This record gives sequence, structure tokens and C-alpha cells, in this order.
Amino acid sequence: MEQAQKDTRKLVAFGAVVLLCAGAPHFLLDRGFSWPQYGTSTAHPAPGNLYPSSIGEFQLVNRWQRDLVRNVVEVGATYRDATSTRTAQFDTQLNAGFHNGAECYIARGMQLEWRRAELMTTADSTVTFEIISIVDESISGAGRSSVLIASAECMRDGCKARPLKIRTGPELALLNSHPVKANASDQPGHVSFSIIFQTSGNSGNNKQDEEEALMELRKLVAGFSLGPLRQLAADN
Amino acid sequence: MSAPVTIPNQSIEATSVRDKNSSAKRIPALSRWPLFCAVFLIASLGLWWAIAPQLPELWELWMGNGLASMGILVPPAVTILIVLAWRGERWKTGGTWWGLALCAFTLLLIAFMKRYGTPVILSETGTLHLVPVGLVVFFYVSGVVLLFAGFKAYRLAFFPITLLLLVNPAPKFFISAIDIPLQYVGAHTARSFAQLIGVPLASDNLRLMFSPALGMFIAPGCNGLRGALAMGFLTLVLGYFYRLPLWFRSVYFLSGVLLAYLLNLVRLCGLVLCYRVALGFEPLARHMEAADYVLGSLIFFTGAIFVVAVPRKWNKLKKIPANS
Repeated sequence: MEQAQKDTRKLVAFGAVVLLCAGAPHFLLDRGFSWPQYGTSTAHPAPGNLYPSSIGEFQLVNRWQRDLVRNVVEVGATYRDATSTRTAQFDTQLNAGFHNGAECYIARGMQLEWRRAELMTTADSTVTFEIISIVDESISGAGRSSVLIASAECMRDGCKARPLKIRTGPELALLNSHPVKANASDQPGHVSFSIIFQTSGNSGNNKQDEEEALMELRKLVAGFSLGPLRQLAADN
Repeated sequence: MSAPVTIPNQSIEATSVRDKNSSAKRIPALSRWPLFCAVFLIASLGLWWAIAPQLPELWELWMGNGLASMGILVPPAVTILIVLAWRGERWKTGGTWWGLALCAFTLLLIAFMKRYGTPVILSETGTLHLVPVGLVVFFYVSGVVLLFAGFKAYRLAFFPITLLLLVNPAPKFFISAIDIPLQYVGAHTARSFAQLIGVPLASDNLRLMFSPALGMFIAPGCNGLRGALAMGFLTLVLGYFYRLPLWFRSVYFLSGVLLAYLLNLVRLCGLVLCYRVALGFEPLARHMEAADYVLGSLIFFTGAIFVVAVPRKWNKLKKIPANS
């Protein structure tokens, strides 16, 4: 009997601890949290509105749209020139937070060759892109092609580069692990945009091939309009 | 040894004591099953409130990451092993209040992280979470068991509870540190084997091209980590299940992990052979991915049978001297 009463006291104490230490924080701090509703995010732009059927010498190969984790929507398109030696993959992500597309490649072990900010002229504005060059490990082009990734963030009033974060040493930090809440309220409407540009080199000189690839990327970007992306950021 | 409270004579004794000492102020006592159910419900509710925001992330990890998908087996495995550990055991109930302190500490730690963020170490290799979800679940369950069941029950269920640490069996930080080197080891082994059997190979880094159109890329899924993790988990559970001595369990676990990794290298060499055959047999070349799956499954399954047989054999050998 005494034991049973002791257990009951423990149960009451445990219930109080759960209520105070778990229930109260949940109702106070998790208010912005909701379970992800896949495929029901409000902004689902039609790929055709963002990506035209051709950009300069490049013809559209395919366009797609898919739901990623936590309401992140990816809208992409692939273009190729007539000789099939140059390929460009455009990628736009909504609700992804501030995201530099190049980080995904580096996080998966791709080797970064160089990075720099480049001011480029698009069809309707002048934008600074973060450009990185990575070592091509793909089956189709390893060792023979240059791969450049141009990234920018677009908001209602314009697009700009978001520098790639590369750390030189370990750093202790407190990471906000509440992505839904963070995306919903802490950041203004914006979309992440990147172009992966791959071209087969002809000269056999990597440096020269990369410079040529950069020039071709500039020509490609010059024919692309960022207006629909800014509009999308404003609507998001 | 004193009898457990659930046996009939003690229940009678308890009833008579209750009759003698009944008082209006006294908290009404609960019998065993309602108490267990109440504890389970409150503990589950507490855990839900504490880690609900992390559950979608965990679910996505299990569903979307081939390496971490094994973590989905951890909760049912832990439950079954705890039930087995406590089955047939009789101990005097009455836990320790330290369990409540541990629960409160864990829940407050989670509340702190909700308010201020999760402590992490950021580096070039990736993000190391100092308080992963597995650790807080482990602390919380430990606290509940200590509070209501006591040290003896906790000691019996310690290993299954420890397995909760593996709900995310492949932290990104750890994987990103060893993924690429292991890929290169796999590629080097396959390339060396191809040279050994005289297959001409155009190759660089992680690509092995048998012809301009036929080749393979040693992707992260090919580096043996999945097999090593799965075999490691299997040996941990089997070692505990068959009550192997601790030293042998450690050797068994390490051997399992190593065996799975070596079997992956065998698989890559087997694939090189398949590609060699496919060079002269066009229909096979179109099904190399399927060939990879079939080969990998067969090799891993054979390895798993061997791994399962070891503890059974050990226990049989141990029984022979005892019987003789």
C-alpha cells in the first residue's frame, strides 16, 4: 500500500514536471510550428512562367517542378545548345530560406576550384552573382568539362549574391532548428536561384576553358530575365 | 529476497494495511496496470510535446536517406528488447527520485534549445549537433525508467535504452568526414581488380569507364557504409540477444562492421566482372544497375547468415563443457 502511494506521488510529480517543462514550452515556443503539408504550399509557380522555351543559342530540354522537404518547392529547367557541348540547368527554390545552391555540391564532396562575385547583365537588370567553379566528377564530362555554378537570391526589389559560407575552423554556435517558423516569419519573401553551367573544353588548358565558360555563361545570363523571379519573391 | 508487490499474499497484506491506515488526505493508490498505463501516457505526451518539431525532420531522414533509414527500426527494436529484458523478472517496484531530476533536466534542456537554438559545432566538414535527438530521448526514457522502475530495472534495460542513441545512425558530420575517402578506397580496389584481370579501363578519380558508353561511378551508396551500419546494428542486437560476454560482443561487433565493408569491396570486384561480361553481351549492359542490386543483396545476405550463426554457435560451444 505504501509503495503504491509512493508510485502515485511519483506519477503526480512526473505529470507536473511534464506539464511545466514540456507542455508549457510547447505551447509557448512551438506556436509557429505545424506539420509540413506536402504538396499544399501556396506558391506553385508554373515552370513555363519562369523559363522561356529558348535563351539565346540555348534551347529548352525540359522543365520541372517538385516539392522538396518542408514546403520547399523547386522549379527547374535544362537548356542545351545546338552542338550539345554546353548545358545549363536553372534551379529556383521557394521557401528554402537563404540558400546558396553551390553549398549542396560542396556538401556532397565536390571540390571547389575557385569562387568569386561577378557582376552580370541579365535581360532586365544588372546583378552580382556568386560564381564557383567545381571539379567535374560526372561520368559524361569528368576531366574534360568546366562546371560553373552561379547563385543569387531574388527579392521583391532586386537580386543579389549571397556569399557561400566557407569556414576556416570549428565554431561553436546555437543553431535555430525551427525551419518552418524561421522561414515563415523571420525572413522576407525571396527565392533562391542558381544556374549550373557545364561546357566541354576545347583547348586542353583548364584556365582558358574556364574563362571561355565564364564568357558563355555571361552570354546566357544576358538573355535571361529575372523579372518573373522578383515577382515570385514578392508573391511568396 | 522480498516478494514483489503483485503477488496475491502481498496484495492481501496491502489491503489490510490500507484498511487500518485509511485517511482522507492520503493520495489514492493505483494498482499496477493502471499505473503503468498512466506512466506510459504521460511519458508519451511529454515526449511528444518535447520533440514534436523534430519528428518531421526525423521522418524525412528515415524515408529519404538510405544510410539513415535503418534508424526507423530503432524504436520497435528497443521496445521489443526492453520487453524481453523485463520478461519474467520480478523486482520490488520503487524507483528513485533521481529519475524525475533527469526527466526535468532533459525537458528543460529541450525547452532551452527551442528558445535559443541547438548547440552545434560548425566546421568545413559540416555541422556537428552536440545534443542530437537520440541523446535527449535516451535521457528522457532513462529518467522515466529510473523514476518508476528503479536501478535494477534500468540496469536490465540499459542496452536497449542505449540503442535509442541510434535513431539517427548516420550523423551528417560523421558521414561527410569519411564518405569521400571510403569512395576512393572502393574505386581504387575496383580499378586494381580490373587491372588484375586484364580489363582495359579508362578511369580517373571515382569513375571507371569500361568503354566510352559503359562505366560506373563510385557514388556514396557504393562505399560500404550502408552495409557496415546495417551489420553493426545487427551484431549489436544479436550480441545482446544471445547474451554474449562483453569482450566477445565487442569483437563480434567490430568483425561484423569490417566484414560488411570487405563484402562491399567484393561486390565492387564482382561488378567489374559483370561489366567485363557486359562488354561482349549488349543486353546485360542495359541492366547493370539491377545486376548491382542483385549482387549486393546476395553478398550481404550471405554475410548476414554467417553473422547470425556466430552467436548461436558460441552458445552451443559454451553449453557443451557445462553439460559434460
